[in-house]
Amino acid sequence: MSDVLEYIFGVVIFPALVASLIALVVAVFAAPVWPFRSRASETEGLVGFALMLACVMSFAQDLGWNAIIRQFMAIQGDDTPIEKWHRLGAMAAIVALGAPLLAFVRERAPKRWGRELSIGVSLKTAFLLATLVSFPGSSPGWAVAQGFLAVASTAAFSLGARDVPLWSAWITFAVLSAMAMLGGFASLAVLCGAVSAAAFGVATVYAILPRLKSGVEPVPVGGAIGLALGLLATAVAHCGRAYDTTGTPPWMWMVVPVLPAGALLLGRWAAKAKTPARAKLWRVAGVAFFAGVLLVVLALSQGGKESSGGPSDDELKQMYGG
Amino acid sequence: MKTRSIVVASLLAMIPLAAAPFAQDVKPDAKAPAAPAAAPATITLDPVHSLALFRVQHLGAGFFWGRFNELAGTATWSLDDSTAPVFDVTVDVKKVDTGSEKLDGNLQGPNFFNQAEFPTMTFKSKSAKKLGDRHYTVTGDLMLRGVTKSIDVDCTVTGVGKAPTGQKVGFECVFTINRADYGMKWGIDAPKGAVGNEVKMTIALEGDVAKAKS
Repeated sequence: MSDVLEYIFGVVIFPALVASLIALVVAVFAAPVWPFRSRASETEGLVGFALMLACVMSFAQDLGWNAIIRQFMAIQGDDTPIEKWHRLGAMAAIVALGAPLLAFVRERAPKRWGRELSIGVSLKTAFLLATLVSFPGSSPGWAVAQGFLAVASTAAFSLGARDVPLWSAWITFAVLSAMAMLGGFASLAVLCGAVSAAAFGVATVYAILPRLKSGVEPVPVGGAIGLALGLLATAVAHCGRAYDTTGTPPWMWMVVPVLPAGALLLGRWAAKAKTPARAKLWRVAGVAFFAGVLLVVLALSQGGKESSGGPSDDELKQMYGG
Repeated sequence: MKTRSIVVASLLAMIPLAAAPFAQDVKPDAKAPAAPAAAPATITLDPVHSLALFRVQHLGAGFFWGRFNELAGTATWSLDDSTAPVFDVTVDVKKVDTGSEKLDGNLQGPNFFNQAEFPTMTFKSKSAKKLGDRHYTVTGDLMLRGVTKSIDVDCTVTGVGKAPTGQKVGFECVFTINRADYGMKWGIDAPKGAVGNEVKMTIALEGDVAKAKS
């Protein structure tokens, strides 16, 4: 295997395979595993964990585990500076643990409080994201925007995409990956690629397995998966905007986390669909259409850019400086 | 006979005059007091005629060259070479130039120089050792991506010239670093061997000698 393929396997394919394997195990085993009481909560919590784990594994494979550990403690003999974007790895690790915790808490809470609990946790985590995860050039205004975007993105994944959050995540993170690659940020591109591939793998497991085995339930959207994906997409978009060196308009980065809301675009056709599978297909098509429009606008804006710079016309300055 | 004597005497009389231009090559009398060494002059770097070139191996094959177009700072050096040069140089990493706008963006990004967080690279002299005429090893602190490490720089004074604006001095400094020491690890192990670890830098400096206050 060539070095580049080995790299792609390590940072994209392998984390996605691990996430898919976790999803497969969760889907196959009929009885919920302690501490979960219901399969729905277990599935949601562990699928959320698997997706975030793919992100953490990709990050660690690319930059080393120390890049995450040094966010929390000093490492002896390590003088590598803490870079702000490394917070993404630490954030994904926290969210990986938080997703099953939220699913567990929501399961134990009285049912009538379920929605309020999810909304409350979304608002609190959005506030934490806005205050703790800052990137270069982040002003208070950007922090507020980041908080609002986190809530909007969580809502887009949980409510907009409804029964297609994983397929929506596949498209959303693929777009983020493409934009990061265009922006010259290879590590962010592979990280998003890993999350996208993991979402695709997990979605495929839950699309195929019910045809092969009875009793496999679809992935429920009770808040944990939507929250995990919404927080990560928002943080990645802000990170991409902060480090962009190609002049991509900031609004383009800000639109990507709410791409799953595109599932509502073709809602009329989804409502008229004869089978649930076709309705899902219409919703995914809506997200893909929204993403496609954004990528076309991005391509047009990149193509229209003129080369900047060039030598000064001041001949005396060119000759003698000063 | 008389005429020949006059010619010989004239020629003998001219000898001291003819030797006059070579008088400075004569070794000074040991008892005579030594000429005082010139005071170090402050040289303000000229950003137009100063640049930093870097060279790194790409995919284990060819050497890839790039440059930083904007350097600022000062050098201090005695024009008679009686004291070693002292440098305080700042490089704006946003001004990296590879000839490809896209590649420039990659190098400015977090995988390489991370200019959003670490916009400058600096070098400050600490000591120097004379190797020969106008040739030194200068030891100093290189700060890159927030990491400061001591390095040795091979430095040559390339010349002292005159311009309408005043006196100019040129330096050429060469050193090699391992970029991983400064946290710039992308492309060394992952993806393996994409971009080499060893970076050779050649810094061409030209500056204006500050005019003495009257």
